[in-house]
Amino acid sequence: MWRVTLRSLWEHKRRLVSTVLAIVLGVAFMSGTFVFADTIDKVFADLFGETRSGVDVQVQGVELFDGGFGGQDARELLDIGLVDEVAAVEGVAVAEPFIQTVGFGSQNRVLGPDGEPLGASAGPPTLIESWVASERLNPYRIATGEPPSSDDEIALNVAAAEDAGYELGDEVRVVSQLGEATYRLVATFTFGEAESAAGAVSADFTLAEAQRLAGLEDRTQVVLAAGDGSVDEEALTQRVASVLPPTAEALTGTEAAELEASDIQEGFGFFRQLLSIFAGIALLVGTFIIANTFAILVAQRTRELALLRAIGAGRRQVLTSVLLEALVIGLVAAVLGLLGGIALATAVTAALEASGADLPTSGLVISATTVVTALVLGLGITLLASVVPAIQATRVPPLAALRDVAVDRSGASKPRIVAGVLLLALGGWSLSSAWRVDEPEVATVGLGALALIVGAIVIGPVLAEPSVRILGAALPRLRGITGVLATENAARSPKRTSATASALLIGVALIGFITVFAASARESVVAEVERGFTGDLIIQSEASGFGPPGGFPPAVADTIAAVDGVETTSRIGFTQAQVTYPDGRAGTQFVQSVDPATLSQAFDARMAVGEVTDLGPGGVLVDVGVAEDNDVDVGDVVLLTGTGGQSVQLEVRALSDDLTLLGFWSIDTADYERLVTERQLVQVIATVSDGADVDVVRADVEAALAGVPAIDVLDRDGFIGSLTDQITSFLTLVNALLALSVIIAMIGIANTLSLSIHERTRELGLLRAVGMTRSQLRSAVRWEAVLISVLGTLVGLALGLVVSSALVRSLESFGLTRFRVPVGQLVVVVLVAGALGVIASIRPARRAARLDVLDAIAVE
Amino acid sequence: MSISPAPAPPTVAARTERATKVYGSGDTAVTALDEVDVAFDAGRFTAIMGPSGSGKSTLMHCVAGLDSLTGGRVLVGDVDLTTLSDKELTTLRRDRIGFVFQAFNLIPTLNARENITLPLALADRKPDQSWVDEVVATVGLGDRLDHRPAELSGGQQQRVAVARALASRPEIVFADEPTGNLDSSTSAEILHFMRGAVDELGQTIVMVTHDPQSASYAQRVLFLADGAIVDEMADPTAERVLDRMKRFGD
Repeated sequence: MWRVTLRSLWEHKRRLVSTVLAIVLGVAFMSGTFVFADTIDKVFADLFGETRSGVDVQVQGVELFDGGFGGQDARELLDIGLVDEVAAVEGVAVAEPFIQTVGFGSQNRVLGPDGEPLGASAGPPTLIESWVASERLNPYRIATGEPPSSDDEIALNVAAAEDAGYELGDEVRVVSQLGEATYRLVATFTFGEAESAAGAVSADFTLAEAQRLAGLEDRTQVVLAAGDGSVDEEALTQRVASVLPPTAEALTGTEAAELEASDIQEGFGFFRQLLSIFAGIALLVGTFIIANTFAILVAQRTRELALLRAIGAGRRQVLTSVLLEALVIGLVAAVLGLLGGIALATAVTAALEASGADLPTSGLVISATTVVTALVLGLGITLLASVVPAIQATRVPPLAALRDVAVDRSGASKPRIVAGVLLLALGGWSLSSAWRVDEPEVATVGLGALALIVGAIVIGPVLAEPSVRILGAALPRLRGITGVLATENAARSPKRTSATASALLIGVALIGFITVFAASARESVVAEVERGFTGDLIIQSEASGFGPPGGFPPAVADTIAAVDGVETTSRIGFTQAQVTYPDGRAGTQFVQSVDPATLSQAFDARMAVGEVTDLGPGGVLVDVGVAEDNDVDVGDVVLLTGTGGQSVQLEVRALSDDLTLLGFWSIDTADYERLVTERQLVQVIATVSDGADVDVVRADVEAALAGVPAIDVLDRDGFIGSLTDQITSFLTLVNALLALSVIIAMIGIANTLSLSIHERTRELGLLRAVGMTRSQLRSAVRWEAVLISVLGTLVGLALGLVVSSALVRSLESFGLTRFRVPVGQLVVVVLVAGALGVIASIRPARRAARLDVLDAIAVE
Repeated sequence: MSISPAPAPPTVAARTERATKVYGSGDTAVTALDEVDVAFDAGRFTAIMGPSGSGKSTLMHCVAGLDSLTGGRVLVGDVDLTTLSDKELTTLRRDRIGFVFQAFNLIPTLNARENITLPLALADRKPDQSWVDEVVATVGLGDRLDHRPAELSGGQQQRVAVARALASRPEIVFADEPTGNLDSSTSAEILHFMRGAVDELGQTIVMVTHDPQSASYAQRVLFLADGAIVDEMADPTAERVLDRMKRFGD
């Protein structure tokens, strides 16, 4: 059987290529994601390994709470006196404090001579650090100059200094929570041999200055220690641990490196999961295509299989033959996919380096997991997809060898209709809960969406023929006989057409869903802001991708308030904090600080209980949904713990109902300053005095803030634009990722057409003989492809539309108050699908047109 | 039956001049047509006979514009087919030539009516409805026009094929073993119909066959052997054709 199978495969190598391609792309995306993520993981592991290479013991505060969203964990701070205690432990040769603050947005940035911050806005961060004197503990090596010895001195890594064009002795401006300050460049340094630590901008100061910049006077984040060689790092760590207060813990240098790497790796883990989801969708689409291809191949080989049966091949042998073919295809797809994934990861890494990230390229990491996943997916999916066709192949009676191959026009089997209708009904009912129920469950809606899509795919073959006829109704008038033939051909085998269109439907349904959802979100945001935003100007850090809001120094608010024509300013700060509820439970939450007195001039926020002005020092404002979920009510007292360990007890004063403007938790600015070590504002909202021109004041504020890096001064429209831009870039990203599954679906269309054309050789020969021109033939194939792709697209969009309307409805309490169908964008999706259908038809159409008339009519 | 006046026919509908077709090259070259000179008179029913491998199908394919010569010329009317591009050949087949093949004559997705008017539809020409009606009436398909080929018997399918060949009023109809797959009474019916088209409608038909009985419906029979015309016979009968054919065995 091996010989028969392999020979049959080899004879159809061209067909093999497109079949394999459908799986290769998905596997390549998946393994590329794995290779890239593993490589990045290793980059950080190496980075922190080198950072802590000379460190035997790291003392740090115990964990207060998990950072959440891949952020760094919040830890207790250490008293600076602990450094001497650690140094005094027997076996410790040297111990030093170390402070590091991460900068992005407009705060904790080093400015270049042009006033622009060094480093890319969405690239590696800026690190504000204390210089560690001991060469054993410090991963940096002085390149030129002497380390900072006075508080107005700074040292920069070589790459940052060179990029900015700074020479020793130059004045360097740094923006921190204290505002802008000028330092004298006294040294440049390398990270080991490298000019930067993976592209980061490293700015080092004296301990006292680093403490001041981080808001950590008399305290430190960690104590680094190295041994005198008398005991190993574990033993030394245990000794150090024995002298520590309960708020501190000791790690070996190795553990510390792993811990810090894993913090960042967790952030990338989210990225890995996200990409894997899209790779999974692509693979699902590929599965449809492979299954369809096998079904067609088996149908076309009915005679061959029947002949095998007639000459004595058993059912099992026929089954084995088809499965063997799947095995070979799957193996080829898996291997090519893996290679493609490695190539993809190489390209992404190269692109990343080109954009400024200095990855210490220790080579791509191709883990056993990646290889196994690629093989399992490639093989598994192909085998799975071939099982049903293979079983059908065994049912071919030997007598079929003597019959003409009949075209399979079937589609409507009773179980199929029943299952399809049931699934559609179930999906429809679940989705309708968004309208029927007061507080709809998003999970119910999600399950309903799934049932609806599966139902549509199941019932597809039943509806494919009438749908194609309806869609193609105008074609005969537009394209004459070519249009008739295109419609008839698309309608002639409903199962095939349906399976091909379904592959496209999946990707398009998701695109339609996300497009409508984003449009609704955008409209809701705009409506909320237009309703509730009463300020004239909003000052915030430039958007930097999808990260947390960038902050700026609190002093900026005073600068704004001093501008002529500015009537009031209201400051909004931001931090993560742990909230401990009255019943003892605790969780990490986003907390913003506000000025209750002026907030009402900035926002007309919707309140559930009480007023914004009820908030004052000692009070907290909670979103009504969060309050209900956590059983908190007005008058209850909660404990907020900041990232540095400071905590404040606050009384719930009012319940808000405005996630767009107020978020989950709001506290008074005075309490915010007690809660955090590093203060940062994320927004200042200003109103202008009566009679002043908003544009003029905006320009004046902009001029006043010329020295603050990466800050935007926006009017209402600009503010709305900044919010909708975020949604738009999210939409673009997701649709770009979904494009892969659409491309795979198009390969499926091309594949099905090629196979169908092969099947219709004689018919095409006849058409050519009685006078169909090559271009008419190509046109017929093209329109057939367009019909199939538009069918898949329209059904997909319809499903996406229904699902997003239900989801938007069920998320109303989260601020999604509007439902909007972006008709223009959806029309573009249909047109693009039609165009892709045309592209998919190019090769099969060319093959059809190239058929030699005589050969075609002579085919027996 | 009302007969539309056929356009005044040229005396010769199609002819070849030293038509030569060689397959392959060098030692393996096979000469299928060897400098054949033949003319097909307009308004006549000509049969081409010969043993298998004699080149009769090749001759028909070349005259019909389905295949190309390696030497010599083919003219349909005044048009030299050897000078035409593929597109011009296609248009010529569509507008000036009709075809009836042995099997698989019809497009399975089109019904009988659509199959009959297919060449006209391809040319985007409005069918001459009274002519089509007449052809259909002559073929006797009346109530089965909306059926697809799969729902028609073999004889009915061939009748649809003949009707298609006539519907565009081609200058010449080529039939390749049109009754090869039919029983004798159905065959007789089809052939009788084809002869009627010649006699009553003035159609020109060239038919390739190996069956003396079929050939007897023609007005003239050409005998081909080894790529050359070796004999011809006017007003053939089945017996005379059979006798002539037997001599090929010698």
